[in-house]
Amino acid sequence: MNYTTIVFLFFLLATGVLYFSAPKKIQWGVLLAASMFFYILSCGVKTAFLLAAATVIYTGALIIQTIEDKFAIRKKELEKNQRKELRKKAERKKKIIAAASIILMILMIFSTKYFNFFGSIINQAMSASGIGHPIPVLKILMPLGISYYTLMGISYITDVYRKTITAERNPLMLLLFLCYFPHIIEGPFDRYAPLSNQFRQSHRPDYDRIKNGGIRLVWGLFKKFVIADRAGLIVNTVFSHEDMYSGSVFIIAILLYTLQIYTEFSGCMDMVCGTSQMFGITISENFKRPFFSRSINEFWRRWHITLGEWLKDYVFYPVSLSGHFKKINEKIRKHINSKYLLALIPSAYALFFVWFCNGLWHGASIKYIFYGLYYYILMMMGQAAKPLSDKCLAKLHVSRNSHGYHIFEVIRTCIIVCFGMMIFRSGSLSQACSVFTGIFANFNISQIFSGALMVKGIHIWDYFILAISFMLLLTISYLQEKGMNIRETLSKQIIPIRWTIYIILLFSIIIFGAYGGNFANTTFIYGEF
Amino acid sequence: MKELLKILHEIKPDVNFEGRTDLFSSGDLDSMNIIMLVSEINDEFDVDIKVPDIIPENFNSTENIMKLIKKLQDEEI
Amino acid sequence: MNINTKNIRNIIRAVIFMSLFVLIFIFLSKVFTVSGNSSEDGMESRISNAYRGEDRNSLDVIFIGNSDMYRGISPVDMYHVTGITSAVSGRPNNSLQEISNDIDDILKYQKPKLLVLETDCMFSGKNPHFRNSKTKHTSLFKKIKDSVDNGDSAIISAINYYFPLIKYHDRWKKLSLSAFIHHSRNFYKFHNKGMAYSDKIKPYISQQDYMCSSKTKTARISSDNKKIFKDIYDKCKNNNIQLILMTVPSANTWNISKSQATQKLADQYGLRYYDYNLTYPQDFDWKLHTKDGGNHLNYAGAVTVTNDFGRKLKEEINLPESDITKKQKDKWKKDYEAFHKKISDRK
Repeated sequence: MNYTTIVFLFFLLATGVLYFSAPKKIQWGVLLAASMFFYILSCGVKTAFLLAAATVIYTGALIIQTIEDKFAIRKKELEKNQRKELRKKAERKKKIIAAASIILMILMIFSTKYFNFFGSIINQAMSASGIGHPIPVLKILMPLGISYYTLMGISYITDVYRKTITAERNPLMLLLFLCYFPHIIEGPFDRYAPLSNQFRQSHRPDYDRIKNGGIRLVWGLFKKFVIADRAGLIVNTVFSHEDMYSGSVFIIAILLYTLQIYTEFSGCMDMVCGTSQMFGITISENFKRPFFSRSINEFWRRWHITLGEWLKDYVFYPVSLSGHFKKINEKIRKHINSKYLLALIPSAYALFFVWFCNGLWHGASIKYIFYGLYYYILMMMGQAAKPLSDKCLAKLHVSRNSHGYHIFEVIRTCIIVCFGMMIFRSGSLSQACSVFTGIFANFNISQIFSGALMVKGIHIWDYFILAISFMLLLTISYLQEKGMNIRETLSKQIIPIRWTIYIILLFSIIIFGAYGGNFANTTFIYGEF
Repeated sequence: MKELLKILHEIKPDVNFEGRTDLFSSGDLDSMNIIMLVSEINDEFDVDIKVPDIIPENFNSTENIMKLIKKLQDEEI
Repeated sequence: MNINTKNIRNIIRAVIFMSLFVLIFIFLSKVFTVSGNSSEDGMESRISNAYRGEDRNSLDVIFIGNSDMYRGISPVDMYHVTGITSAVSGRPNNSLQEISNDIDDILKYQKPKLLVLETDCMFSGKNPHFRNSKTKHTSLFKKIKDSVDNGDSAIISAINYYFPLIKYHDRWKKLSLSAFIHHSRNFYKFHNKGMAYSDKIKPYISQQDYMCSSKTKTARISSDNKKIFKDIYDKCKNNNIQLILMTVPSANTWNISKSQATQKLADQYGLRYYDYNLTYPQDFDWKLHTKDGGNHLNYAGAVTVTNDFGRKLKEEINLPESDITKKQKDKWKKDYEAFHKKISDRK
C-alpha cells in the first residue's frame, strides 16, 4: 500500500472511524492495528525483522532501566567511595547492553540493505589477495522502513541509556513507535517521548484539525503529482540516455531533479504530517524552506531536518565528546599552531563520521558515501577559509549582512546543492563524473532550443504547468519564510474564496497530475532507502 | 562567570552573550560552537558535560550555563 | 454557538463541499470524454463502436456479443472470403441487457440484414472441469493483498466507467473551448471493424471433453434474460433483421446443457443456431487456436470460424454479396490490406 492511492484514503477513513469511536485508553491500539495491517500487507514475512528490532530494543532498554533502578536503590545504603565503584560497574553494564542492542540493530540492517555492498567490498579485497569471491550476491528485498525504524530504535535505547527517558514497559507502545504508518515509509525520525506521550493522550475528532490535516495532505499530493512526477519523467529520460543529451540539457535536468526530489520528499512529508494531524498526533517537520539557506550548514538544518538532528545527537556529539577523541585531540594539538584551526578539530573529526553516515544511510554504494563526503569537504573548506574570506570581504567593502551578499549566498548554496543532487541522481559515481565533465566539455546550448527537452510524453504545456506550479510553490514558501501561516490565513477568508481554492487544488491534481498513460509508474524516492 | 565569558568570546568574538536567553535557539551557538565550548568548559571547570546535558535550556543563557556547571560540580554520585 | 450547532454546521458544510466536488467532477468528465471513436479512445471504442465509423447503412451483418465474439470473428476476412460487409460490436463481459441497448445504437447507423448473437452472454458460471492455472487456492492474506494492490485500478475503472475524468485527464493539453459545449465529431474508422487481434498461442489440452462432462447441471437462462431476449427478437423482427444465434468455441464456460438450452430457445423462436463447440469449424485445433488456454480464440482461430461461418452465410442462409458502391468496395479492399499489413509488420 502506498500513500498516493485511493485505497489508502479508504484505509484512512476506516482507521479514523475506528480511532475516534474507540475508548480513550486504547485509541492508540487502533493506530497500532492499522500500522501493523499496513506493514504486513506491504512486507509479509519480512515483518519478522520489525518484530525482531522491537524485541531487541524493548529488552535492552528494560535491562538498562533495571540496572539503573537497582543502583538507585542500593546507593542509599553505601558510602561515597563505594557508590563511585558501584556507579562505575552499573555504567559499564549499561554500556554493554546498549552497545549489544545497537550492534544487533545494525547487523539486521546490514544483512538486508548493505549485504551486497559490503559483500562486494570483501570480495574485492579477497580477490586482490588471490582468494576469490567468497561472498555471493544475494537478491535481498529490504523490509519496509528499515532505514527509518532502525535509527529510531537506536535513538530510543540510547536515550534510555542516557537517562533522558525511562524504558517503556509496554512492548506494544514501542512497536507502534517503530511502525506508525505515517512515518514508516519516509520518516520523519521522531524521538520516543514526544510521540508516545501523544499516543497516550485521548484525541477527539476536531473538525478544524481534520480539515487542516486534509488540506496539507492535498497540498502534498499536488507537489508530488503535478510537479515531482512531471519533472521526473524528463529527468529520467535524460539520465537514461546520457549520450543523447548535451551539457546544457543536463543542467536543466539537474535543476528539474532538484525540484523533483524536493517536491516529492517535502510533498510526502506534507502528506504524512497532514495525515497524522488528523489523528491529533503531531510529528516532526523535515523541511523548512531549505532553498532560502545562506550556507550549506544552514541548508542541512532545513533539509531532512530530523536526519540531521539524529546524526547530531547520536553521532556528532558522542564522537566529539568521547574519551577516545580527547586522546586523539591531544596528539593533534601538538602539531598545529593556529588557534582557529585548533578549535575546528573536534568538529572536523566528528563531522567526518556524520557525513560518512549520512551518505551511507542514503544507500549502499560508493556514490552515496561520496555524496556525503562532498558536503563534508565543502563545509570544512568553508570553515577553514573563513578568516581569509573575512579579510577578502573587508577589502572589497562588502558586508556579510548586506542584501546583495545575502542573495549571493542563497544562489551559491543552491548551485552547490544542485551539484550534490547531480551526484545523488547519477546511477553511479562514474556517471556523475561523466555528466559533470559533459556539462563543460559538451555544453552546446543550442540543443535546448532544438526540442531536446520535449522528451517522449512531454508537451510544451507541461513546462507551462511546471512553471506555474513552481511560482506557486515559491510564493507560498516565501510567505511562510516571512512568518505567514498559510492554512490559518486561508481559514480566515470567506467561504467562496476558500472553497474555490480547494476545488482548484483538488482538480489540478486530478487533471494536471502526471499519472497514467505517458507517465511512468512512480514510487517514492526516499522510500527506497 | 568571568572565565565562562572569556571562553565564549574566544569562540565567537562578534556575538554579545550577556543578558540573552536565546543563545542556542537563535543559532548563535551552533553545534560546532557547542563542541568547542563544552571541551573548554570541561577543561576549565573540571566537569564532564555529557551529551544528554546538551539541550537548549542549558545553553540558552550564560546564567544557565553556569547553573549547569555548578550542578555538575556538586553532583552526587 | 454551542458545540452541537457548530458540529452540525461543519458537517453540513462538508457535505455541501463534497457534493460540489462530485458535480464538478461529473461535468468535467463529460467535457474530457472523447465522444465518438477517436484513435485516442483505446480499445473500448475500437471493439464496441466500430460500426459507427463505417458508411451509413453499408453493413449487412452485425456480430454482437462479449469477448468471445470480438475475438472470434474477423470482418475484413469475412468480406474478403464472401463479399459480405460486417462488423463486430462487443465488450468484455457484455450482458444481454447491454447488448439490447447496443442494438438501439446500431440501428441509428446501420440497417443490417443479419444480427448474429453470441450466446455465451446469456449464461453465467464456469465449467466445473475447466482447469485454469489461475484458479489455485489462494490464502486469505494473498486475497487481501491482491485486492489492495489492485484496489486502486478497480476503483478507478469503476469511476471511469461512468465518469472518465481520470481516464482522459491528460487531454487537458488538447482541449479547446468548444469541448465545453457538446458537439458531435466525425467518427474514426477502424481497420479491425470491431475485432480484437491476438497472435498468442496457449493451447487448451484436456483429457475430458468439456462439452460432455457428466457433472454439469441443467443450464438455465434466467427469467430476466429470457425477457431481454424477447425484446431483442422483437427489435430484430420490427426492423426486418434476421436473428441468428452462434457460439464460438470456448472451453471455459460452454457445455452441452447450455447448448441444449440455447437450442431450445432457438427452436422456440424459430431461429438458426450454430454451436461451434458441437461441431468445430473446419481446420480448428484447440492446440493452436486459443490465446489463453481455452477461454478466447486467437486470430488464427477467428479465421477458422470466419471462413466456416462465411460458407454458411452463402450456402445455408443464402445471403448475397453486399450491395455497395465501387468506392465502398475499394475501401473494404484497402481495409483488408491495411489490416494484414499491420499483422505482418508485427512479425
